[in-house]
Amino acid sequence: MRCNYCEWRCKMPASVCHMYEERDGTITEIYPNQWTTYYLTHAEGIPLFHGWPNHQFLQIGAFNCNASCAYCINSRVAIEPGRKTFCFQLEPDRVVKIAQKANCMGIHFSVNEVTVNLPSALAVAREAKRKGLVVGCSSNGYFTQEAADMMLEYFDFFNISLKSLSDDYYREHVGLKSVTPVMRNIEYLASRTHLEVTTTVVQTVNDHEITAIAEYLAGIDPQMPWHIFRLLPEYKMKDRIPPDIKEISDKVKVCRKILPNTYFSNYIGTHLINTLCPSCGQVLIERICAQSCGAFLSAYNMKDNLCPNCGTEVKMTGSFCDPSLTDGREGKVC
Amino acid sequence: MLGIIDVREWQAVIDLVTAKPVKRDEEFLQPLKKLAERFPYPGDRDNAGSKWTIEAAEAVVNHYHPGWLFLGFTQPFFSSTYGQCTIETRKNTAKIIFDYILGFAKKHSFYSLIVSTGGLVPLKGYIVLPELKGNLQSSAWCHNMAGVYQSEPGDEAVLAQEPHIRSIIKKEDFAEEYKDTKPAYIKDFPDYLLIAEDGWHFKGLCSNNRALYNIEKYNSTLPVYSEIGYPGHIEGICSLMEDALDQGKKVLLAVIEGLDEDDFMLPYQNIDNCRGWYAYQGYTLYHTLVTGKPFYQCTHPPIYDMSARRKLPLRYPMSAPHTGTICEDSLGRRAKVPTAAVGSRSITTHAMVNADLMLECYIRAQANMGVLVAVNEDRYHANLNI
Repeated sequence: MRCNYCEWRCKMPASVCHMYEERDGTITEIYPNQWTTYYLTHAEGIPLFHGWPNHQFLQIGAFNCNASCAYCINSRVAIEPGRKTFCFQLEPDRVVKIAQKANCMGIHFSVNEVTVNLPSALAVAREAKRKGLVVGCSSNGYFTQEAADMMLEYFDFFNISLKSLSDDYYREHVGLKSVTPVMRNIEYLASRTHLEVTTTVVQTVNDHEITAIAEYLAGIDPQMPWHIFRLLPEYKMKDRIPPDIKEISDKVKVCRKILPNTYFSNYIGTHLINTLCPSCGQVLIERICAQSCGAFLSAYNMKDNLCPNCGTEVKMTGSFCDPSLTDGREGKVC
Repeated sequence: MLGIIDVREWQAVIDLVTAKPVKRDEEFLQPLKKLAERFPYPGDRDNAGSKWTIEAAEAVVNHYHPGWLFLGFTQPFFSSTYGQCTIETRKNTAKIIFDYILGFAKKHSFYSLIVSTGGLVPLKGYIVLPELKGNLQSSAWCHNMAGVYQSEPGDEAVLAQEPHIRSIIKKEDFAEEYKDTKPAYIKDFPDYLLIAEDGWHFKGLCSNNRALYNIEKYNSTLPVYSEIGYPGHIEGICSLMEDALDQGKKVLLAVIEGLDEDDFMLPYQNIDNCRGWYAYQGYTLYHTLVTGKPFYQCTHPPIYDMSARRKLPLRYPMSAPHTGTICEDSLGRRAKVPTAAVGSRSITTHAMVNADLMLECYIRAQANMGVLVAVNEDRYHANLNI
């Protein structure tokens, strides 16, 4: 019997992620409802720059992965642990209750690859939707079409990591066989849900692909939000020099002419994370980067997703959360 | 407060109150940019981190000539918390750091005061409390502490049955006991503040998912070495330093994280570190060392509500991301002499010490993002006659 959650399509009992087994003729999770981490973030920290601005999310993840990225920042739980790491046993209703009590608009599956514990994630998502929460994930995108359809039933957003356009890169640095399923899923999801894409740039390895990726994404959706991450040297790449910011910034500025919602972050102080009006250049959303990954929202200057200067409509899903309109401690989600 | 971020081969000048970039190109920035560039942070896990503090301090002192200097060393803490560290290794590390400090102090004519934040104990186990209805929120810094927010009836009984909790402080009891605490502090205080027995680590919302080997313990006393006399209590260190400064002495306060009295290789006294049920640790210890104020007058409680939303525009988003408040009344801010700090406890250095000129590593979730030079321009310019 073969697993149909990711494109390894493992023949049981062997499984690349070590998270599933065959039981009574079905693919079954070995460690259901076990999570290594749950913590708080906000849309911009996911990063999600064009959806639910400034809303708080409960970020939750398990362990193990179907990939082995050479620069994984969560390798201690995603790649290395096997079954050694500490896990919380949290049933779906408990996860949702925690999120609601912590003033969260939604739940974001992250830390490890969501498809290695998909039944548990779907159970949480189902319960979260029942309670009116938004649900989404960050994923390496190496899932099957069947898994995509399962997630689309409940998930409101995806942030897919497109690490390169090259199979060679995927084989050498990501531990996956091909980029093709990832591209197929990006194309499939783009017309069906809120999608943002992230690419970690490793200088001299994939920085030459930046313009080509921008063109590829623009061909799918000219307003696709794309997050270029500066490599934070970790795990097997911990001795690498991080990419030259000036050089990559110049490329990002070129990309913005192809794909306006292109951002460059994962380093403190970056100024290439504001959303600009694609028509007149007005700053519509200001953000600051104070840590790795995403950012904080610092000012929101749009109304009804329109540029206040020229009226151009900008891609945005969900409403802006203005904490001044509510007291976050009262448990209300704005 | 002005900040110069250096992430290797790229710098940005920002206003730390808003964290937004500012266009500044005055001449006075050049040596500060150079300072940030010269000292990329090597990390906390070996002696290079301690050497970084002392070498950066040398550059800071030569540039600014402070009369009061704060130095922060974290390598003993991080090495023991996230890895196996033998007693011999820790003692060797301690000796290196003490030699650095005393040699540096002698060279620059500082009177030294060295405080350890206390020893660590091997991790015995986790406190998870799955029956709680409220949210158990852990601290990523103080692994032996947690808070319960949005509690429900029955939670107190669940807490009472947990055998490894040392203290349970109810919010109402805290507010009643410390009436002069600011309302914002009380608002941020958990329904129940929890302190574990030594060796037990709370696991909950926002807890650290890294493997821990040793964690903080309840240190009722802390070892202190001093060349300006000894206080009766840890809260007395700040006034001791102020007295020495009034006598015209240059004072160096060094904080070393993670050393127990057995590791303390200098003559020392054990100083009372408790205020009632609370033993100082984490940022509240930093706060009390530089203000002399008790923990309930810190900028925020030992556990603060990470789910609370902050109004826009955010204040100090890089300095205090969850509270927006930094220490405004530190000795670094009010001493009559120029003040400076170099520290490897990341943003805590400028958020708590708040000296005229500061250099710190910028680490978030243990990712080494670069270094930050922070400057309080009012005092910095006045002291350099800029």
